[in-house]
Amino acid sequence: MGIQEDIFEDFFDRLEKDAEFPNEIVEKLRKLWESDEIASKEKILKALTGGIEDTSNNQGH
Amino acid sequence: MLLKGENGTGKSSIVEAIELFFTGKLSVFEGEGTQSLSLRKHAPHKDFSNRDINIKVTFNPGHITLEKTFEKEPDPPKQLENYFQTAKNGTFILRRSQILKFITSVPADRFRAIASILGIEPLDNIELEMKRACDDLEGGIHFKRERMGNLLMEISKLLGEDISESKEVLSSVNRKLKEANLSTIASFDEIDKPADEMLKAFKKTTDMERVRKLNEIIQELESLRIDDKIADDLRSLNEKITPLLDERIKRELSITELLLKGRQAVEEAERNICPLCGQEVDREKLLKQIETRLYTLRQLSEEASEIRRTSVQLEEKLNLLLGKTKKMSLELEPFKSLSNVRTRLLRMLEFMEGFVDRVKSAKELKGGIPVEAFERNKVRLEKLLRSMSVKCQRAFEKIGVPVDWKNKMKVISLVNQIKAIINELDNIEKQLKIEERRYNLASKIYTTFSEIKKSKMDEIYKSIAGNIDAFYTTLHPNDPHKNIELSVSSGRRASTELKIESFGRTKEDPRAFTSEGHQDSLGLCIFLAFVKKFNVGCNFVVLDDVVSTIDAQHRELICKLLFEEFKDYQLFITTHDGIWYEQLRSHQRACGIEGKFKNLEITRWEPETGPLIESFKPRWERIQKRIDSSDKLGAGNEGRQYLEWLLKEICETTRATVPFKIDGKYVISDLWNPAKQCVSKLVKDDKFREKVLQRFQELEATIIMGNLLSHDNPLAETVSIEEVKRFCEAIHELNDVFTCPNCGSFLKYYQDMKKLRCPNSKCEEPIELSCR
Repeated sequence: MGIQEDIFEDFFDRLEKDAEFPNEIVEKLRKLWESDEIASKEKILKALTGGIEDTSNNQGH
Repeated sequence: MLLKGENGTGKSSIVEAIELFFTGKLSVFEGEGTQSLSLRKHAPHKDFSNRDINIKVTFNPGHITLEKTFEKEPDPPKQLENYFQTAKNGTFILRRSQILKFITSVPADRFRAIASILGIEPLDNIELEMKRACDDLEGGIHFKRERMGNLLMEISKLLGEDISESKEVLSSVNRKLKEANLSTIASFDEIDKPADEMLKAFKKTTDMERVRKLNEIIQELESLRIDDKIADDLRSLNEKITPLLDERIKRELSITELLLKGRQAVEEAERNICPLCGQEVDREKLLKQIETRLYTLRQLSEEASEIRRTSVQLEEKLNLLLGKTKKMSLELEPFKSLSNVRTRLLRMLEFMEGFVDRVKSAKELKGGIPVEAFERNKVRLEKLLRSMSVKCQRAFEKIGVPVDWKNKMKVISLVNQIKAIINELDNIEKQLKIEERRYNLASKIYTTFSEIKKSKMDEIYKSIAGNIDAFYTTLHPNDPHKNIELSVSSGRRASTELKIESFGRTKEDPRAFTSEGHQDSLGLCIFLAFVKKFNVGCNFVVLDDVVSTIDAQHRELICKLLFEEFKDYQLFITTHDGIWYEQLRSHQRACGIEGKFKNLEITRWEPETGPLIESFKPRWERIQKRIDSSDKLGAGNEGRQYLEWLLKEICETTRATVPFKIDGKYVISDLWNPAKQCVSKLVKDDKFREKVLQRFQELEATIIMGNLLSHDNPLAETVSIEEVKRFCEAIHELNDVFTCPNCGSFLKYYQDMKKLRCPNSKCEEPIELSCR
């Protein structure tokens, strides 16, 4: 495996093992990497939308 | 293969042909200062064209011959794919110019050079984009927190009380409602209750909705302020951007402009030809590369990162102001008496929208921010808002609402305003929670990736550090320089430090205490370590004249390093240096690998034919050839050179004392007696001494020797070919006395052991002679 592949495998592995990091985002990042689109701030930000719970505390004003 | 050739005879052209074959490009035509060079134009020599370029390489086993021309790429079979894949970066070739470049380059360039060898350059861009994603989210969070603080301050101002949290607002609002004799509310959803109760008693003919709207507009106008800080922030941001536009953009824009025009030309041309050099290109790949370069040029610095963060916050503030102003313009629409101010407000909106676009462009370093224009229009807007407020008040008074109701309406409007602010606060809070979560994830992505990348690079460096150190120690066994370290700089992205321990001082820059020769050999060791680690699929190594600054003693050690550590590699070594060439040949013999090498020499170069390459003939063979062809002069002169070399070797080996000559040009008459006398004094072995002295006597007996000792000229034309032959054979026999009969290595004196012996550690029966 090349060095890039090594680094990304470790990277995804570490994120997957992090219980606080949503797996669906890991999958989105993986897809970006596989389609050679991960070098894009916009696509990274897009991968971070959705899949994140709205944990806001509605205080009901 | 060894290839010897004088300067300008085409050694490097052969190396370039190999590079072009495997990589499709020539590194001599790339990099700084090569804009005037192009592959298509300058690869063929004068009077030749691109059609004449044809490189054929035969691979064994299998006798597979592949060809490269400008029109045709080599098409390797499956068993050679890995080989070509490894070779295509050209990292198997080392030239003199590259060695020092690595040692003396800045850490960022060094990192890029290594990243290029490892094929991980794209990771740098990826890391940067991850950081940018964090920066953007951080900017948004910062703004939202600031906005929440400002909203609470706004509520505090409206209520005339110090409000630090949103849950304090309702009780404060109810106090105001009570003061105005209006019923209190349990939540902001009941906001219409006091207004409805009050309005029931009012004239039915009056359009209460209109009254309420107008009152709301009045209240909004009273609280609508343009933050003075915005102008200061804009000015400060512009000050940060302007230097980037002035200093670098003059340099980089010249590239940016070229890249932009290049992109346009490539897009429009719809052909696979580069508009600059006329070479064939992969159009899509080229366009992508141009985009990446344009993008990266502007985005690399930390200043750009800071500018982006600040810009995001400012954009949000301006968008908020824009939003409020737009809302105001919509609310004014039903009021015909206010149509004039509304028109002016719409014009102001147009300016603001354009201004926000300018701030966005500034974020991308596409231009500065017209702060003065903003300040002028801010003043105009403030004046306009005041005028609107007066006109709205007049329109309200015309309606004829009772005086005490004015106060009640004011309170109701106030409560409505606060309700709008509370809603906004709630929304921001919800968005903030989401964005904080996104930021935490983005941060985790960036830090995880950076850590893993750094750790991997460190791992790679450590894995080759052992080899670099081992190779360097082979070349410099008793040096005060050791413990070479390659490491990723901490705290800096994409930066490689190179450190060495020198004279007991650790982690020094190699340039601090090492000579150029040491730096050259360090560069060579780093290259060889990378080859060993990363060129696994391709065992071909090319060293193109790499030892110019390294002394003879260390070159011996380079021979040892190459032939021992790289014995499974196919080495192609070029040199102009005859001594280094002889050392390499001598080591081939010592290691018993002479049969595995082709030793070649470029004997001639012509513009029409290029280099003429022949098998290298050792000196004695050349002399014999001349004797056989009765070339007295040629043989005599070669003989003199042979003897001169031999006497120098003997003097150096035995540490003979030779009278100093300031010009360093020692001739046979300078060396003869010191060599003869030193051997007599040094060597205890009688048989050896006798043999040496006998050979000296035989030489002295030749007429040519007499000429040499008196005139330093063989005067070979005055003697017979037989005499020349006798002279040359006597030199060769003297040479034979000083070579090991088993392996042919020239003897060396070991002072500590008091021995004159064969220096070849692999010799099975090394000759050894006792000395005094």
